[in-house]
Amino acid sequence: MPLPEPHDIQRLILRGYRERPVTSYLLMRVTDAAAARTWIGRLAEATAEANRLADEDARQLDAHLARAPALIGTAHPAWRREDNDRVRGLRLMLAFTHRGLERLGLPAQVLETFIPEFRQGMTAPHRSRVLGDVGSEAPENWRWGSDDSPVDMLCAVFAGSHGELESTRLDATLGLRGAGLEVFERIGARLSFTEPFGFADGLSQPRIEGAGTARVAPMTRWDNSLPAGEFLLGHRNAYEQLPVSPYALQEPPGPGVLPRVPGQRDRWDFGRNGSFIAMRQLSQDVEGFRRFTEGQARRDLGDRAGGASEQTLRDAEERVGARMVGRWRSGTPLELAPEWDDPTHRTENDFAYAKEDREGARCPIGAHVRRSNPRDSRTDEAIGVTPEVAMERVNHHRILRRSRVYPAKPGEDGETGIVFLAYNTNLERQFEFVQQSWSPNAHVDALPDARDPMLPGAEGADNTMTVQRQTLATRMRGLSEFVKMRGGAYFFMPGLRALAHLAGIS
Amino acid sequence: MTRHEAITILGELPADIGDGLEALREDLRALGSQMRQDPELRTLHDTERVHFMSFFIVDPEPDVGPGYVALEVNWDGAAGDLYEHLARKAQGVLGRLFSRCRNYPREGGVRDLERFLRAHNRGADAYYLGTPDRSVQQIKTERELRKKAAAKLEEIGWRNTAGHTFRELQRRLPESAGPPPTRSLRVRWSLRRGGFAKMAGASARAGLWVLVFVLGITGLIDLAVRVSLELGAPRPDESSVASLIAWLRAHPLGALIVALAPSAYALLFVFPWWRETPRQLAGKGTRILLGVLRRKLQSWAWRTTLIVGLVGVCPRLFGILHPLIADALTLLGGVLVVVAVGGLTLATFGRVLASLLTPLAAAGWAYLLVHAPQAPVFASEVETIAMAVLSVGVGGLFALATLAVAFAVIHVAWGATAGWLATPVLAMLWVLLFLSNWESPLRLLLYWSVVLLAFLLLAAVEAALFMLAIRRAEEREGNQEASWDLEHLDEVQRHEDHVYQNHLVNVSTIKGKPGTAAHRLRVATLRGVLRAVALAAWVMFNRGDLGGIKSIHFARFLILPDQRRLLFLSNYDDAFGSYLGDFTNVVGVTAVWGNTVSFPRPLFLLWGGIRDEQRFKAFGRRIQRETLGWYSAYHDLSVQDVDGATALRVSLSREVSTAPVGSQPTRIWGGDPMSEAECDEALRSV
Ligand code: HEM
Repeated sequence: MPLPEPHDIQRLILRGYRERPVTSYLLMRVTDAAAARTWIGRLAEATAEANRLADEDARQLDAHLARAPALIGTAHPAWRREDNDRVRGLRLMLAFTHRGLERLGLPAQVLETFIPEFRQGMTAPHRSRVLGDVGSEAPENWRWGSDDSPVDMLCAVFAGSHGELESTRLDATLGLRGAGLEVFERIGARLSFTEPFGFADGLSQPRIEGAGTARVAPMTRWDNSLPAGEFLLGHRNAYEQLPVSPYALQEPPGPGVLPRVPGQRDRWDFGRNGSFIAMRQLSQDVEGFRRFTEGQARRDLGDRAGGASEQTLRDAEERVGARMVGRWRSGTPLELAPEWDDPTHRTENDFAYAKEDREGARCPIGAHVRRSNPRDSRTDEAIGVTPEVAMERVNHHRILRRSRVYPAKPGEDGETGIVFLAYNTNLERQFEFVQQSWSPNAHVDALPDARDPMLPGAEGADNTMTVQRQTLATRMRGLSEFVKMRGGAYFFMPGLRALAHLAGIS
Repeated sequence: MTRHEAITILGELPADIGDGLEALREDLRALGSQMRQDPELRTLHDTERVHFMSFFIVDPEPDVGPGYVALEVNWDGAAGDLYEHLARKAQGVLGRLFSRCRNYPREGGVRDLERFLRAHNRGADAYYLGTPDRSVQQIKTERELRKKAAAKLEEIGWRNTAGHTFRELQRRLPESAGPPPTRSLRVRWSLRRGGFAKMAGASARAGLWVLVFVLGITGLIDLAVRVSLELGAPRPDESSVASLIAWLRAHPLGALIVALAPSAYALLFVFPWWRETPRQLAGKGTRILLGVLRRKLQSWAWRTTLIVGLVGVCPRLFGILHPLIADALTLLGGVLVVVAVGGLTLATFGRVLASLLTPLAAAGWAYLLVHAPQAPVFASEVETIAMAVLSVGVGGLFALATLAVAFAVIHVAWGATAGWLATPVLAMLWVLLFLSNWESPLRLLLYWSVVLLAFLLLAAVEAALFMLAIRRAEEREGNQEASWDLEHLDEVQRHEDHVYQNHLVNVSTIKGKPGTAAHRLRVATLRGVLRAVALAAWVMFNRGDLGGIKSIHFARFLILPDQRRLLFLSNYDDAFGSYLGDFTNVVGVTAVWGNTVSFPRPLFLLWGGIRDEQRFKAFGRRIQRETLGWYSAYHDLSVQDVDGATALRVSLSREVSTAPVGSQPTRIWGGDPMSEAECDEALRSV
């Protein structure tokens, strides 16, 4: 069954903006709530208008799109298609932290109905332990998102060209002057097939039932289809329940702005078609990574390294990197091509681990992709966990990634990395679980390495990476910290009606 | 095998404690922060018998129950030793914990303190162990071994085949030699391995065993009759079994032999004659040879029994056709018996006795064959005997099954003691029924079927009535929505995720107003369910996983003495959310917590509830209480680590390891567990 209200869903969760490859993530604080609400309201209205025209009158839609400098992108199929064909204007994605919603005037009653992870925020002391944001990675060392530099709102702007995102021009286009919003951090980013270490990224995504995402085909070797409720509030999740969703007890002003909570007469659903975002700005030490893979390649070659040809060394280096990630640079899964890259499998995602690779001889158990999504790895027939059961359990912990690479132009200002955005409806069970229980899984599968090689780790720790082979296991030592936390927060991305509702609060 | 004791000492706080409660909480929090430093507590940890230990307060709730101070210990060995240790060496700690409680002997001596502890230990209503059979010491030793193995592996390097590396490892880790300190876990009997299909297979095999056993005994009786005839007894009247019995009565010698032969045989059956031959008693070569023979014989045991049975009965049956057939079969049987006797004595008593006994057996048989008169044939009784065998085999199996079910039902409904008392009585009834009817097996089968049907019918009616009552109660109850109190959440989360293990205290309120039928129904149900859980933990989930989940070290349920609240304590791996998430895959959990307030609404006791994951977790947080003090003897080990280290030790202690178990070597890496100091550091920051 297709999703019933695509026009109410902000588009980014269902489709990335491939036609708009440059991005600016505007991190904002509310300085004047009333003005900010007006600003949001205007945008929401213009977008609603586009939705309406797309339903009724294609020619007028065309004119509307040509006129509007910026709209919030929605998943409405008709105008999204048109929009893709002729890239005009900017598309936005708006999301709010709990603090932001509070400062915008959302009543306390509604604020209290959000899930606790979102209410506490990404920097609550307990959460820092959960996410491994300790030591050098602790929030006080972040550039943004900590208590010293809190964020209220995220406005991700997607554009067709760099020029449009130049800051004064952008602020003018968006009408930010006098909008009651202070932009305190801008992260310019770009769509890129590969992340900064050089590996193809964004390949494995869950398939949302009913979302009609044609690009993600159903899998034959594992189960990649998830109910919409894992990523969108107001829909049934993997437990066949409606995820906990914020609601208002008071009838909202303006009839029919918010939908009713199903089966409840006096509750209005603020969360429907919204989703939670775990955002992490991760800077990557590309040079350090390269140095490590080269050094490790020499160690792997042992005595032969001295006389090895450039090509042999490069191959060994590629292999080291591939084992850390679980895919070759091209995107070919190690599971399908363990020794040499086989470009015929480039971007392939139809593979699983239990049948042929329980012990990690093909794809190391500690590789980033295998940690982040073990698929059916945890099969243990002896205790009744068949591959199907293992898969079902793993699918309670999936995230949908929408990351882009920063800076906007390669090599622009020294630092590079990814702006990681993960969508989910249950932060604790999805994003946090991946980052707490899977990524550092030192105690499951007898894996001795405490950290995912691709995730930030405490500085100075002797990080290791074990590579299981057919009959022997080797251990890479001295992995330094290749990835560092720069900032992060939990956001709520409302549906369009909820945005309008928020704007209409008086 | 290590005995674990789940100790829960509950001191009841007086009603007038008032502000004293907060002061007490503060003081215990302070004590908790010194869990590893307090000198008295250290003496306790130094015994190396405490796996986990915690203390906390159950707050008084008006109209529900009084407050309690609770001390939870998972202890190796008898509880008495713990009382004694606490009373002698930790009086200060006991005072801080319990001196505000009722009946605490403030001026008392060591004995009084011990008495107080004994009287207030409520143990557990249901208790689950994730690392069965292992003492603290063993777990720690194996952790060290694993660490050393990992270090040695780095040293050796993986240049050769896995098998080679493995043997190299064995050579360099001399302390790993010797059999593992406890039986390997695989020996542990569990109802669950492979599910009920396997169970059915096992019972079918058991049925076969019974048949074979009966055949064996009959054969031996036959043999005994021959022997006594040989010794000069008159031929028995062959017309009926009754007259045979009369003959046995009249000839004590014959009767003795008849009785002795089967009992010796039965002894052989139950005696663990395949046990390991001790190292000291034999050289390496012999041990290996014996080991092979032992394994062979073990798998051949039922076959040998079958042979004995055939040898005994077949000649008699087929002798009806022609005496020559009987002789031929007896001859064949003789050869088999000689081989069996030889094999068994060799395996059990060694070479010397075997080389003595085997020729003797052969000679005896040959003598019998030549000299014994024609085997007595009870032609008219053959049918009876066959039927008797059938009814003993099938009926006995059936009787066993009903007894097991009866035990489980009584256990769940009225408790373990009732189960243990009632089952032998029932068994005796069965035996009486059998003895009074054994000559007409058809009647016996009829009786059995009637009893079974009645039993099933009764059970079905009762289950239906019960389910209706439960369902009606469920329909009346609303469904609490998922909501969280952030302040409370901060209070409990403060203690979480400092190390890989976590501790959980939950106190939930049983449904229904006290004194009402609704409350009685819930308490009775809860008691029954907890007994079922305990039974399941005992016979099914006894190998370190709970329905495929391996994240719980020790957990327990306990109904508080006020009968209004249910306590749940757990020492588990990984995060709260991941742990409760695991629970959503276990059916029984709904049946327990479904009887308490604000749990997501169950459907017919067993379903729903737990699958409402977010509501369940919100419930889990709502009923959570602050752990004021917590100690773990091995913070750095997950259940899987503990198992992995044991597996490593077992495989390293194998005498001949031409190939290491599976691909064990790729999993040997012991990791670099946190040092004690690091653990302390992590926990002190609480
Ligand atoms: C700088 C940091 C990171 C880099 C360079 C990185 C890189 C990659 C790459 C190259 C892939 C393989 C391509 C693909 O399957 O899409 C991948 C997959 C993935 N990553 Fe990351 N990643 C990073 C951080 C994270 C974080 C923080 C998380 C979440 C906690 C995460 C979760 C995942 C997941 C779930 C997959 C898909 C695995 C699968 O389904 O097979 N990644 N990442």
